[in-house]
Amino acid sequence: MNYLSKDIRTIHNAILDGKVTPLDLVIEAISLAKKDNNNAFEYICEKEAIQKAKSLDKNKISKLLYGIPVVIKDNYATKDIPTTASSNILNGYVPVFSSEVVTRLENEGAIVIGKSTMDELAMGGTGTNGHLGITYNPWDKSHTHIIGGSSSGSAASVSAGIVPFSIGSDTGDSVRKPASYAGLVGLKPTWGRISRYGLFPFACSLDHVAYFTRNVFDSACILNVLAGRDDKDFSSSFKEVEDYTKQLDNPLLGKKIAVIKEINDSVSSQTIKEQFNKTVAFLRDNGAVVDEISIDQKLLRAIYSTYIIIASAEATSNYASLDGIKFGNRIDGNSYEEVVKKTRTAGFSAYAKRRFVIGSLSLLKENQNELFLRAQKCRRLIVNAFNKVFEKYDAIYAPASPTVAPLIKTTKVQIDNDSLIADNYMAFANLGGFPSITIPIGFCDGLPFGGNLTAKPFDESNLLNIANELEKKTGLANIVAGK
Amino acid sequence: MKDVDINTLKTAVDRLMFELTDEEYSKLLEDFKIIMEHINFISEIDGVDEAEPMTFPFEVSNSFLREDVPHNISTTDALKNSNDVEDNLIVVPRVIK
Repeated sequence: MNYLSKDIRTIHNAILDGKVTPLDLVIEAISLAKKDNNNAFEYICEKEAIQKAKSLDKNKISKLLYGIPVVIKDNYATKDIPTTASSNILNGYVPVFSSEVVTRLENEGAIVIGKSTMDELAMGGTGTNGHLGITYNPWDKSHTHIIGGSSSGSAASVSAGIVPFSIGSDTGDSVRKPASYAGLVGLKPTWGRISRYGLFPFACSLDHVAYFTRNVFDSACILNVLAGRDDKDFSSSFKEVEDYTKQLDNPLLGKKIAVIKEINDSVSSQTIKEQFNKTVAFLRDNGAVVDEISIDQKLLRAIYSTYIIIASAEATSNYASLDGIKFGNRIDGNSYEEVVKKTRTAGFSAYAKRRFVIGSLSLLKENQNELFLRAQKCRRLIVNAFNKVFEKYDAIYAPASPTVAPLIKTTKVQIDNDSLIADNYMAFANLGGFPSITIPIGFCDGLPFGGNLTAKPFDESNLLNIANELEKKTGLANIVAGK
Repeated sequence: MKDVDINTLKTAVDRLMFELTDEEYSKLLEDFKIIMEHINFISEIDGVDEAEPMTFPFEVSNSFLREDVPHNISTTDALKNSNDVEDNLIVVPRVIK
């Protein structure tokens, strides 16, 4: 029996019952990873994972993640395992420490079987601009549709049935959008809820640890493992960690949910609109109060530019360390400056360079007031508008994408000029640090699409509860491509 | 803000310490037309210039400094990712000539 296409709890029970061992699972996951034709992997940890499976502490067998294979996005440091963030500038880089997320998972018995492909340095939303090329969507055997990014390989590996969960990162919507295109649950908890120690910093004020699972229960379980203060990340929160599975089955009666008219109006797919409305009807039928409300269209339209200016400016500063001197793929020259210049010229793709130029221009003294500072001011107004909604509502609910996964040929590897609000609004949860989850809600032409729920900071239990109740209705838990 | 022209881009690229081909520069100029349209969406927002800049998602005030925790890595580890090392030092081209 192939357990890897099941959810975590089912696999855990099979281990407890002696039907399968961690070593069986790891060998099978590695075999599937090697056969993967979606370009999901930067590195397959064959030797390391088999050794870990053989040396697991059997006293930990009752832990849910004991022996469960996991894939980690390649922008998390993994000790003694190559880590490139899908950028040529980091070819050959082998971290000397592991990120806190990886340490916590391994302490629970999870086994890292691979590092996944991504948009270079997490900059991008298509899964097409990493140094190994396009990551494909397992739901589309013809390889004509994207899976989305930047956490593309992490999404593909769960969607293709190779592992039951994977770690990504979310700075704009880099887990929640691919979750929609891949038929997965993608959770980005509150900013500060999970330590970012060892996650390559891209835009520190927007970066979040986030991850993919096949159902909401698993998502809550992973949060139980990862949430909590870490002294190695000063931005991690002291806020008490709850048991996030406890409230999952609470009734929806009395929950107040807002849908935003301007987001729904900008959804182009009629099928997505209709299915979304059906799920809204379900929420109402089960006692939730769902109101359609409005947010200033100008603010919603400005989310993308606010995000892109802030993210690019922070990236320009964070990635200045990639010079090939202390680590990375150095190219020699006659002077220190020439080494750095040659290394960075060869190491970054054209797309990454363009993002850095935006960042650099917005930080120039003569432009700072009009670009960077104004974007930070706009951020305040956007976040204020959503905070006002959360004064009255438990959650905001909207389609996670305006269409199913777009065609690769229509996806430009450049800054997207698509001003559709529905395609860019999810970054509001990064601007305000709000917890946000995408779950599958339907299919169109054989491709999945999701709905997105967002709540106020540190209200993950409430968020997961609403998502779980919705999942029961859609019947789209535990879906795997090709099964 | 004054229009972004090729010279503005060249200044930015030079500060970033990489190079672009002529083709990449013209592509970047095209991109900037789109980017500036987006940026204009921000300036259209009422009251934007009066708002307080927001640097982090929400206020977190830590009124303490944690104790220093010594955390050392070995010299071997510290140097293992540099591709030119001699006598425990990272080698770079001569700076003062």
